[in-house]
Amino acid sequence: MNQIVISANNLTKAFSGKEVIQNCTFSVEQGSIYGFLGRNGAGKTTMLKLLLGLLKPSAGTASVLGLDSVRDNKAILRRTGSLIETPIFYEHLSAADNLLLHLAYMGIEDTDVESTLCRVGLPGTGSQPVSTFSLGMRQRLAIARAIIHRPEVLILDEPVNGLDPVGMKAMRILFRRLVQEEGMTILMSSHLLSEIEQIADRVGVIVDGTVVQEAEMADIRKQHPSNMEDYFISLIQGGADHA
Amino acid sequence: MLGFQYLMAAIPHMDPTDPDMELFSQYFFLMGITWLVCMAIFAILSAVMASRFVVEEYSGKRAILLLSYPVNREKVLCAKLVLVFAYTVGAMLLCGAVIQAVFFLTESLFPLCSDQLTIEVILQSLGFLLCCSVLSGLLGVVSLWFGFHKKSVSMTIVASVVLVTIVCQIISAALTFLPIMVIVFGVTGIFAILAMQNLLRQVKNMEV
Repeated sequence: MNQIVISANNLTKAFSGKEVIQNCTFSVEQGSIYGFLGRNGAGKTTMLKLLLGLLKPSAGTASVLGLDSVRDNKAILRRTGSLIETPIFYEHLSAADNLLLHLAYMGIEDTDVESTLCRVGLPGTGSQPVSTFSLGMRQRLAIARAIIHRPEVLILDEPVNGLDPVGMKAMRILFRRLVQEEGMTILMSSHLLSEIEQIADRVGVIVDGTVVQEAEMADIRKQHPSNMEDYFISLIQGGADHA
Repeated sequence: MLGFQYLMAAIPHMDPTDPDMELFSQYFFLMGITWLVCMAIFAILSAVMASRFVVEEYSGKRAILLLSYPVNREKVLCAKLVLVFAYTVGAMLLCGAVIQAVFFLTESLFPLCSDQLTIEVILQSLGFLLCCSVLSGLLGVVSLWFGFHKKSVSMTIVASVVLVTIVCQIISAALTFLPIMVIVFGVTGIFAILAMQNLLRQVKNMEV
């Protein structure tokens, strides 16, 4: 068994008394792709924010790379690449300048911005202002920003949003390469069954703020070779009762 | 502002028989009014800058970007506040220095005011300019607190207009009475420090 790099223990988050994440426990092994699957509003983004320390848990603990998400928040952010919700950039700056600014915040100077842009399928766009970018290009640039400082862990919230099928496939290949060649660990959320099916090594299904099922994708493929989609839909709709 | 300064200096010449116009012949009054108007303008400029650099940056989804960097949250906010404060004070000092230099130079050659231009008058005016410059920066910080509380750019600007109106009214009512200026300066300074401490605490505990 590989080392655990992301873990949540009885993680709970409440807003104005309402629990949106309830007693979630899960872990992600080093060098794997973990997919969080759930409907819109299930709590996927909140969970990722809790891991990054952008939100403080009401109860329970979360750790990334062995560091506590609240106490060691800055150390986690330094060693993690993330994409949370809609990608936000400094619109008046060029794509390259946005990446250079990110690197400056991360305390890194010596990095080839153009090669990273090429990796995400944006060659030759470094000098263009981000305000001229399409939704898909912004998504690619956000992924470039998440990986440019060579993090050990990637936490991605709906990373293929706004990408066309070619772009989705290209990103899948990129993520797989990052894991295999650079040893990164990826935790990604999505409401797209097909996306998680194709890329994740392990999947966690989240329903109304609770992780109702965790399983290896290989096992699910074996057990439900012909009706995997129905299986996931029953989990997402029915929660723990159907698990 | 230079035009405004000359316009006010020329007022007594329009109706020399009106005794109320005599006030406009005194350099301290003329410069005081000019610096108060400048202070109002720069305090609102400060609030606009603060809302652009702070309120917008810490509101909505943009806050996620800013807080996702491994940097000390308080230091980032402090840097933004210092930048806004220093720019406001510096810009008003520069603007005031140019106005004062040009006006006093022309006054020494072709005087519009009947008052006597002395080194003391110039130093007094410079002192008042410095106080108004710092006040404009402090008012910007206090206005920011109101805007940040509501995460609203318009709230920041409205707060600055209201605060500037109150402060200008108090100071202009007692232009020649130094203790009032000191009290206003002290109270605004205390409010600005409290506002800054509260903003730092809010940003430190901010969840996005």
